[in-house]
Amino acid sequence: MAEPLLRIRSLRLDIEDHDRSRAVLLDVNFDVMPNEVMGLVGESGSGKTMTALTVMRLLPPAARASAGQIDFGGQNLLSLPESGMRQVRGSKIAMIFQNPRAALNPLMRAGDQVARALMLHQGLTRPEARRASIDLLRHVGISDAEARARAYPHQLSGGMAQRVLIAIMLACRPALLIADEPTTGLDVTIQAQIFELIKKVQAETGASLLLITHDLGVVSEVCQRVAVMYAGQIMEQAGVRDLFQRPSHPYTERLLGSILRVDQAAELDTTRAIAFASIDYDSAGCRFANRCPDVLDVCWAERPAACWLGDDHVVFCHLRSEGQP
Amino acid sequence: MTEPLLQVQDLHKHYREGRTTIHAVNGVSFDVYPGEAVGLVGESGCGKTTTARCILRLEEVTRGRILFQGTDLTALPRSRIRARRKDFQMVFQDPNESLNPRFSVRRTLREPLQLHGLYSSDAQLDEAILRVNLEPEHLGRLPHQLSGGQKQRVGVARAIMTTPRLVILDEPTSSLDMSLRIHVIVLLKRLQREFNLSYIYISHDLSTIRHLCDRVMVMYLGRIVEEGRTAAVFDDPTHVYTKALLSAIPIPDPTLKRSRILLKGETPTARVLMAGCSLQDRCGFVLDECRQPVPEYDLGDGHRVACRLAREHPGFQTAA
Ligand SMILES: Nc1ncnc2c1ncn2[C@@H]1O[C@H](COP(=O)(O)OP(=O)(O)OP(=O)(O)O)[C@@H](O)[C@H]1O
Ligand SMILES: Nc1ncnc2c1ncn2[C@@H]1O[C@H](COP(=O)(O)OP(=O)(O)OP(=O)(O)O)[C@@H](O)[C@H]1O
Ligand SMILES: [Mg+2]
Ligand SMILES: [Mg+2]
Repeated sequence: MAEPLLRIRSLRLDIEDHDRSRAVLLDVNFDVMPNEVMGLVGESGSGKTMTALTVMRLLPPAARASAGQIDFGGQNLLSLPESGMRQVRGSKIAMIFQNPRAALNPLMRAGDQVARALMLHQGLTRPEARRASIDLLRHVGISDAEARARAYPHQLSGGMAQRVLIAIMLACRPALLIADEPTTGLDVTIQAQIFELIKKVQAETGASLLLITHDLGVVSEVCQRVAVMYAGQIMEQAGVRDLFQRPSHPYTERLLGSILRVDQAAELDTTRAIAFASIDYDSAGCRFANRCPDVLDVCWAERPAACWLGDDHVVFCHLRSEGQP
Repeated sequence: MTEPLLQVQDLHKHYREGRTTIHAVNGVSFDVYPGEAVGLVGESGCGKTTTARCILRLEEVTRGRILFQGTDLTALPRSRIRARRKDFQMVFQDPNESLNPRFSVRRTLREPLQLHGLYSSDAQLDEAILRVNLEPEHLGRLPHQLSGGQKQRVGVARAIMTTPRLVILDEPTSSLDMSLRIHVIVLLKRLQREFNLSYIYISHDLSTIRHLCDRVMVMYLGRIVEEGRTAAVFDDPTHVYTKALLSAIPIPDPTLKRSRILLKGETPTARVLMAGCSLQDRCGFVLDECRQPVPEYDLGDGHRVACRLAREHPGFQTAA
């Protein structure tokens, strides 16, 4: 198998909050291979954005990566000096943030922000960049791009702001794109268009995409592999077909079971959802134990070891390592 | 029959931008009854958020009337609007707009209660935060210390604090996983039953709309092009735009290959008002008549469609 483009090993992230610190990420391992779309899914608050921000080294002051390594291009990003990191950010790894409007500069016209990225990362001259920025905006489905380029972020609809951000990211031509819910707030037709575009760029440039999303429909249509996160830990990782056909962690099963389909109207109640319980970050065992319907005694005491169900399918669950199918 | 809670009548909102005009909303009319959940869906930029902001008087309307319990909000002075805010609330698309970055979650939730004299103790706040599956420890946090979905849930909790009559929710669950989304829908449904709350639910998440809303309105380029009972619109979409929209939904089954109804080209600019159907340049079924103003066809039971294809619908013959 090829060398991974991004390799995250034993990553731990602690966040200080009211004089108590907790491991918001614990023992996170996963790879992103060259030229693939890797999905990262999981509960709200499970640490997906923090994982991405750790890779980008854009963590809030209260957070600290206290263990592990992130290998990218032969370097451990966690030990890179900030000056080295600045060269990686944007030109080699670019990120679309969860909140597009906050990521855009409110005082700068949308088109200028795209043009600036083109000048910075593709070395275009100002007039070239201006022309190319209009093309890019049109590419991401913004109609009337010439006029929209002159708008300030607050004059754009939520979905337009999102697409301006995607255009900026594409302008950077990075080896790795990290997209944190890039299509929330976009209607499904434009969503389909954006993914076509990302795939095209990927094919042209050989870039990889780490896609954070809650939309399992999108995962199923765009990703090759997926990692499932819960309370700061990876619970399961597999090829996308495998994961949908053979979900092997009780959390993954529940997550897939809670999908609502438009083509099926059903009377809705919370039995479809995962019962709520607070997360015990200090637990020595599996963090899902208090919500797991099949919990064993050992789950409270010990963290499950990796259990390989195939070349590319790994699950962290005592039920599996106990040898149950 | 009961009186509508909200009546939107011929709403227009135009923005000036330099020497041109953006026609964000062009003649939208609809009613919302007490205890009813109405979905508003449509392409990005079609004017959903603008419609919501006009209803709440966060924007001045260009033309049209907004009647809330019979009172025209567009004619009220701002001070009077503020006093009625208890009765209509909004969850903003961008959670940062609902949440003051310098306020703790506790203060964000307490303030609307205090403002309307409903605050008695912090137990109310604990209850509110638990309702959206967060925990009392989150009350001490500032917005930047929360994940995207956690912020969204605080926004929802804040909007329902004062038990308003009408809540407009603009993409309130886009950053939530499916399981939490179900919890939010079930919560909204319960409040709807218990307090007869009404909702306008704006979302691109059509499966949530399908499960929450009694009625749905499909918007394209500033106009409502199809509306009706949710089941009727989803199972029997009649406008070409609605058909294309529904066929584009990704289905979570990697083995499935689907055919999609694709629209040609891109959304036209909202700068020029088009005569006739606004989809004419992208539609595969377009005829000459589509370039003339399109009447609204009634398919019965409130299912209305502004598309010539509606004439071939069996409901059209009976309703006519
Ligand atoms: N500055 C902070 N101080 C304390 N806790 C924080 C801070 N920032 C984030 N957290 C917590 O870290 C956890 C992980 O947050 P993260 O934003 O990575 O979640 P996420 O998986 O992206 O969720 P979502 O899907 O809702 O965006 C959350 O429980 C969040 O409350
Ligand atoms: N303050 C403003 N000045 C100029 N144009 C504006 C302003 N606010 C909105 N618009 C324009 O009005 C149109 C409708 O925007 P609106 O935000 O209502 O769309 P939306 O349907 O909510 O889209 P989305 O699904 O992307 O959130 C867009 O073309 C937008 O660019
Ligand atoms: Mg996040
Ligand atoms: Mg909007």
